[in-house]
Amino acid sequence: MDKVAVLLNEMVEQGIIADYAVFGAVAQMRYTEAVVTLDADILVAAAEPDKLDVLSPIYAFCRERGYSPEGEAIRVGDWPVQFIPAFSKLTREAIRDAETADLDGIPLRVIRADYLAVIALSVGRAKDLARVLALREAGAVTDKEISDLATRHNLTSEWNLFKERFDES
Amino acid sequence: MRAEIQAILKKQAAWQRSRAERPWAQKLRDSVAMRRALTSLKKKEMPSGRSL
Repeated sequence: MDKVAVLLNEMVEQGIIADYAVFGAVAQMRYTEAVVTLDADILVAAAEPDKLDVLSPIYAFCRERGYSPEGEAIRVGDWPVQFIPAFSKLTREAIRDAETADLDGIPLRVIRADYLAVIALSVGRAKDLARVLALREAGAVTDKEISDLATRHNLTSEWNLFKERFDES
Repeated sequence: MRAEIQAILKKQAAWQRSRAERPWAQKLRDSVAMRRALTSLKKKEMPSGRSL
């Protein structure tokens, strides 16, 4: 993952993207035991958000460094990397409030556990709901933190439904 | 019997916690190893020639 971290930091330094943050399973593993995942998901804030094709400069930058596409991802070392432009107010905020973690001495921006849980809640597939459960069980996030963030982003009904399904009465 | 099961569950929870507390970079390396193991298992052909 260190190659990915170096690449992402270079992209910010050179103005290819404004900012980024790791999310999905790779971010989850900061708090839980290791899980199997096919790729590393990276939320990106475009340098020029008004441009229609925000991914082209990212792909071109990767190509120049010898990293080529593999399906919908770019292979960087051991990791297929999926670049996902921030797609909502919630994801833009998640990037803005991301933490800088230390990955073997290399800084890597990663979204906070509460954003990770609420983004998973908003997507709502079985594996996303399992992520919320895993984060709660690991003590990475409290119900209040999830509830507050979900409420701010109009996801209260998703949160209530989750609690109905998974919490013992 | 109930006490034995509780002891097993407690041990399992402690083991899971200790795996969760490993450094992030190490867990990411573990994840890559697990993905590779899974991929190679899927690629193995059954005697009939069909994939697993």
